[in-house]
Amino acid sequence: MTASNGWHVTEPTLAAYRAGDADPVLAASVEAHLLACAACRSALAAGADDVAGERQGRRWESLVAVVDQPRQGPLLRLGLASRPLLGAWLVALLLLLVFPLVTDPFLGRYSPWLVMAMAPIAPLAAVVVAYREDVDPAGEIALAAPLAGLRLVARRALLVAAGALPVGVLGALLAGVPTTIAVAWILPGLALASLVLLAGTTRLDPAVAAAALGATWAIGVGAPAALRASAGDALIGVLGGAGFQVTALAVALAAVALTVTRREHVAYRRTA
Amino acid sequence: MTETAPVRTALTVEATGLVKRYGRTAAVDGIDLAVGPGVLGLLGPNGAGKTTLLRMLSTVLAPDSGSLRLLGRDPGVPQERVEVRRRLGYLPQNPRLYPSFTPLELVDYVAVLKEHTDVAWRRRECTRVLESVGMGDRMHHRIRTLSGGMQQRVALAAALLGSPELLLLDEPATGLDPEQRLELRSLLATSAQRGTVVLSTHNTGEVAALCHRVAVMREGRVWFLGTPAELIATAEGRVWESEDPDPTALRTWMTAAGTYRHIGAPPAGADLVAATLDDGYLLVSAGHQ
Repeated sequence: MTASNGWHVTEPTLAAYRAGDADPVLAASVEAHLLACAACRSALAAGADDVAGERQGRRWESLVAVVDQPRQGPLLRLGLASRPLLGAWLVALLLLLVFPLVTDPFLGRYSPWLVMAMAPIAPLAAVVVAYREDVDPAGEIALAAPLAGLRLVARRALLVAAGALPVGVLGALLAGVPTTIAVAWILPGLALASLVLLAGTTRLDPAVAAAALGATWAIGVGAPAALRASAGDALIGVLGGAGFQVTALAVALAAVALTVTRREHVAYRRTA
Repeated sequence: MTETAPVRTALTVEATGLVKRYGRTAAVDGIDLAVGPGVLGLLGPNGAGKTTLLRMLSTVLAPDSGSLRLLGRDPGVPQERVEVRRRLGYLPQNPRLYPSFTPLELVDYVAVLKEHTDVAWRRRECTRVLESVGMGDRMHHRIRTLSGGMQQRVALAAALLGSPELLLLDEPATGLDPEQRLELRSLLATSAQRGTVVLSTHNTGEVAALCHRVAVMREGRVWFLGTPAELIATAEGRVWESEDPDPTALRTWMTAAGTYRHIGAPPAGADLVAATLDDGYLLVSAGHQ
């Protein structure tokens, strides 16, 4: 392949070579020919500006694609970008971190029963807030979106809970709470949160449901323990036991299943 | 995202006996409405039921009774409602956008809610709709720093995402200056070429300039449905002017020229004048056709 035989690199091949799309064998062949052919070198140079401009355009477009990206990811925007949700998350976090540090007024040491009485109700606020229309950054526009309804509410609640839960467990462990107690509140908390989620599919206000369930749990667990230390220890044994934990899991699963079957009522029927 | 085959129908909105009550008050009281491609203007005084009707058409609100089909589908059925939501755009009366977001973040967020998972597509589409409403140069500003009109345009951009087949706009011109209103008209005319636009307004000028059909609502019902020309025709021969007020007229008001304009049954020898869309609207909204 030399210039002397009158053959020249075809324009499509030259264009592919310019754009860097030619495979190595073809590129080597073109380069060998270019060394000997002034006409093809001129043709290559003539199109170089266009290619450079095109490449620059592509680079610019990819740069703009990166720079123009919204600063927060969509998932984050669904959850924590909304100030009320962020507030609910912070409250849950604060409570989960504080409870293990609260000491028993009678014993003067950390109080596992306080953790069990209060930690499960910390995530309830997140579920309540997740139901509120005004937590959505797009307001009523979001209600007419395909994702509206239970899917959106559940994602918000899950995002908040997923952020608070590991911090709560770690906080309890760091405060010296035994591992069994540090994780034993999770399933009761899940059960209570699921019941509040279910309440959102009824005419009952989720906030009222959360307040009633939270108060019942806190008093039911906390009162006997506060009155008598031995009762508190016995209660912790029961609540941390497999029987109660399985029951809590069953309640949570049943509440979630019922919520799913009643998902129609989350937004479309209830919105006034 | 699962796709279902679109149902082809000439009618985008088919409502029969639609009712929505708040306590004892019927905000929408038995509306029958059939809407095809083009722009339908909802005219009516405050409390006429326009916003409630639009909220039902946008699937935000379920009717208490009656039947409703949107884009050939039943929004009462969950799967069909999701399909309808994928194909509609909605601008509520009070969008209440989150102030700490930028327009790009907000519109991108709405695109996520509309199940658009392709990041590159979202970026292109968000930029396109923001530029189409004249917010391209402010897409990185915080929403709290934008004027009310600009915020309205951001919300409109969110409604335009994905070129919806059914565009529902509750008083879209609120807060817009005259130039922006002109741009809005152009934008909506373009949207109407692709599908159906239903907008509520108090402005008969917008209806005259933009709408192929107009519905006049009052007390939760549609009292008139037809073309703007037909609405004008309802008042033909029933509008007159005089130097003095006429207590026999249904409606009387003083014009800028200092004369009185009346609508109703003209007295003998009355100085009849050509009716306008305002006259037709006032006549119908007063309960007369």
